[in-house]
Order: sequence, then C-alpha cells, then structure tokens
Amino acid sequence: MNFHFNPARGLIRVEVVVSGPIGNAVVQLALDTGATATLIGLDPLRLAGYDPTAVGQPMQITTGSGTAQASRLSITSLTALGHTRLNFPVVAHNLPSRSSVDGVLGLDFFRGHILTIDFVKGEIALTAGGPTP
Amino acid sequence: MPNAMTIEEIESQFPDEWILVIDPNTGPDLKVRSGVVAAHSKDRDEVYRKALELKPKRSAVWFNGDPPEDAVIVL
Repeated sequence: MNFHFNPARGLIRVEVVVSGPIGNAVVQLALDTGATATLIGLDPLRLAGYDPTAVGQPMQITTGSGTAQASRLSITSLTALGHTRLNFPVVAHNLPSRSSVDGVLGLDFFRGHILTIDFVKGEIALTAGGPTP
Repeated sequence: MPNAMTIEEIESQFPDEWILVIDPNTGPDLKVRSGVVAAHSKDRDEVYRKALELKPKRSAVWFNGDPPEDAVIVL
C-alpha cells in the first residue's frame, strides 16, 4: 500500500497509532531518516496511558542543537505505514509545537524493511525486507 | 455532545489549529475521515490538556496546517 504526502513542501508527516494501557491515539510524526530512534512527545504517550517521567529510563539524546535529557520506554505497539511493531522502544521527548508534529519516526522503525519515498508522486511505501545484517 | 464532522468540515473550520477528535473514523492510511471534534486550539498544550482530561479510548490529535512557506525545520 502506498501512503501519500505533500512532496512540494513541509515535513513528511506520517499518521501513527500509539497503543497503550488506556487506549489508542493517532498522532502525526515526521518521517526522519536522520534520527536513529523514534521519538514521541510526552502528552501523546500519556494519552495512550503511559507516564514517561515515572517509568521511562532516563537518557541523553543528541540533537542538531546539542544534547537534551529524555527518557526511553517500550510501548505496547506502534503502527505506521501499514506495519505494527510490538513492544517498541521509543524516546519520550517534546518537539516544539511549531514543528507541527508530535515526534519523529526514526530509522529503528524501518530497519529490516524497504522504504521507498517517491518525491515525484508524493508516495511512500514500506515493504517487508530481510534481516538487517 | 457535538456531532461528528467530516474531515473536509474539520479542515475548513479549524485551519492552522491543533485538533482533538474522539473516536475517529480512520482509513487504512490512518488518516482521519470523520469524528467528533472535542477540542481545537492554536495551542497544542491546551488541546492535550483537554485530551488528558477526557481520557478517550480512541482519539486523534494533529496540526491542521503546514509550517509557513519560509519556515525551515531541522529535527
């Protein structure tokens, strides 16, 4: 299945389902092949029933402008681009509201898959691949 | 309880706002097709405050707009 985005401007925003003990929240993350990990804002995680500040493992993340404190936790599942990852570790950290997204979908979601981004048609496809060497 | 709205109605009524929809009807691409708008605001925190107060089992939150044409975002 192909997913559509605006190839002319802005971020590549992808709808994801964050599943947790309270429920499911659909939020938008930016597809970010420059990020090694998937990062989700604290409030979307709380909406699904997590308390990142209480259960997350403190960690430091490196951003384009320096380092920041964050926490890492595993969520029940994350669904995006037709694929679901169970017990998926995410980094809990807020991006500025001006970014227009609630986090980034990073490389860890794509490993072992084939990601195709067509900037002419404005389409994304994610298909199963093989094991990552 | 407000009525459900289509995505066309939502997008036209609340441009450049963060939107909370309860029990969204989504397609296979997970994009919202319709639902009940429970909160909308230019302020993301305000929308999430309402969402966390309601504790919906199913919800969708997104920004209905694009960054300004001249905005550069590096995440």
